[in-house]
Amino acid sequence: MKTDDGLFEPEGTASFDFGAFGNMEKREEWKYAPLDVAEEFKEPFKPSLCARVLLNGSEPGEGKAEKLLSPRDQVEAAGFASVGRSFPIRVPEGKTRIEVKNKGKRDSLFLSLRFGKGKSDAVLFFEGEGDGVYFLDAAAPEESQVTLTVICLGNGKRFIYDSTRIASGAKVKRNLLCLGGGFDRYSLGAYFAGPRAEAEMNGIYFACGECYTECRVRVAHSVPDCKSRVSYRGALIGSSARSAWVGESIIGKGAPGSDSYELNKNFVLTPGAKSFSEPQLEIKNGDIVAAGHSSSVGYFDPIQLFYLRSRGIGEEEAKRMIISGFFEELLSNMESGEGEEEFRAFCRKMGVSNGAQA
Amino acid sequence: MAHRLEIKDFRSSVATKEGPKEILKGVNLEASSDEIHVLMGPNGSGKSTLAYSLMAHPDYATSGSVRLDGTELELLTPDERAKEGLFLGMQYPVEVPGVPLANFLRTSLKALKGEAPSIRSWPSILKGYMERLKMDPQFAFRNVNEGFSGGEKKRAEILQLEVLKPKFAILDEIDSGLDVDALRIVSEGICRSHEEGCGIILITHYARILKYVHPDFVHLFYKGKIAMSGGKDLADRIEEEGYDELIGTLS
Ligand SMILES: Nc1ncnc2c1ncn2[C@@H]1O[C@H](COP(=O)(O)OP(=O)(O)OP(=O)(O)O)[C@@H](O)[C@H]1O
Ligand SMILES: [Mg+2]
Repeated sequence: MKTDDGLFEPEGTASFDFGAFGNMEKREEWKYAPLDVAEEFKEPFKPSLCARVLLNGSEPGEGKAEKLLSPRDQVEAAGFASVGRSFPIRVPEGKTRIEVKNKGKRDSLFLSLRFGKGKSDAVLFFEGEGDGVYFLDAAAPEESQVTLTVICLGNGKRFIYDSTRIASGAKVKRNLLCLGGGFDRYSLGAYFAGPRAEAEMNGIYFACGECYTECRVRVAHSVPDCKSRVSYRGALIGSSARSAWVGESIIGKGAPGSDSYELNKNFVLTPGAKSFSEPQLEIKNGDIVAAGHSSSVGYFDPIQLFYLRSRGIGEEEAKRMIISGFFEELLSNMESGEGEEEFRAFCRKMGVSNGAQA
Repeated sequence: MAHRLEIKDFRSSVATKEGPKEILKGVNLEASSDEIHVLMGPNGSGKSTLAYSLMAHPDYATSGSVRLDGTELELLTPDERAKEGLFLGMQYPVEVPGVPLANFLRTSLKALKGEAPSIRSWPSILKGYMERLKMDPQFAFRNVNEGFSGGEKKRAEILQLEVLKPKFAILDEIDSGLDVDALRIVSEGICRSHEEGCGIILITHYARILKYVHPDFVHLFYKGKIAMSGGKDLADRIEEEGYDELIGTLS
């Protein structure tokens, strides 16, 4: 599979034809997600057009938008064939706020974000209890500095396909906060279209109660001297909470000097909750700076709890402090400040604090 | 008024693969908060086990009686014991990622006393405490014990002692790993707390800290019990003769 510029070539099926993917139950990319949810999205459908898009508070114009990469799973292909409306959006320097709210039925829409030169900082919200397949196609031009933070809130069932093309010398920060309470399967890809570019991908996700959250992060190095850092942390609350994280890091033949690292840590707060973490490294070039990964699923450390409790802090509060501490470093790496407020509000709702408001 | 800590026939065991293993075999100790008690004993004799067990560490199953000012602590959780006024300075203080020391201590104060200084006044209050311990004020913003050196961790334990003002503090090897200046600074902190009414039980291997912290009683801990008690002179004898010889005189 290739883009127009022939850059991105991970292995595996890629097609705009939803029938090209074979039996879903046997597919690697569907081994974690509950397939009954995917069932409704397996074939093209008539979009409800319920989702509303706001760009800095007002509706942007519809238009033709270009998808740079072919779909890589069946829901993506079927969803793309169902896109009702497309919004080509030019993102200028400075701050931009985009909201996608769906309170209605199953929808499919496409946003293409073309960032300008210079420094831009955009935040995009997915909100509402409506279901949908959403496409986000971002491109950062040469030498630009782009921060794009996506925040998922609300209880909808969402399949999100998000990719970022990073031109030479550009520095891109992709932050993701998955704070939904329904079903979220978020596929996020970044690929380098020119040398000396950097991608920093930070993510925080919660799976609470009955909810399911899956984050699939793919970084493709196919040109020389690029650097990628993937850092995701997740917490699970409630005995039937489920999460999955799949981190793919691909270093192609044409990518000497690549430097990549991916990290995923999960914190299981309730016995019974299940968290899957799967880093995948595919290295086809021996001449690289570094390529590493680390992944873990952990539980409360009784000694840490004991320490806090020995200072008079009750068990519940001690747990809350430990969880919040677990996310704190990542949150400060996100820098842009976007999402911090939502994260804190979510934490308050879930009863999580690091003592700052004590 | 002085506080009283009474430990009677205190036993503690850990779960091992071969079943429970008794480590403390009936400890008896009575202390008043206007006294300083020092506990010395060979490695593995059970000193840290005593310290942890008194604070209800989850690894240990205990029996016997521990009373603080007449209140039985035996069935209380660690946080309840802290609220009763017990404090444990740990041999190996624990790192808490993502939780700044200042937040931690304020949360702790609030939990213990029911109220904490206002967010606005807290930094300067804490800074005052830190200055006395010659701690860089930046430590307030660092995560609890994360990346602290051995000596810095011990200093942070004493900071907590001074801020939280317990009735009784058990300090487990608070002097290990301290350079000469740090030893003096930490000792001064202990003495200040003591002067403010906190009872001290100091676990140590070295008589050098006793130059600054003057004990009223020295106890020799051996095989899970207090085998011998005396004054400062017992520490000197331990230093000179070593445990083997001293224990030999007992049997
Ligand atoms: N969780 C545990 N599991 C198994 N054995 C344990 C456990 N905790 C303590 N012990 C054993 O109990 C004994 C007493 O240990 P403790 O740490 O209390 O000694 P200590 O007197 O503090 O020694 P040191 O001077 O070296 O600090 C040791 O033999 C130790 O191995
Ligand atoms: Mg010890």
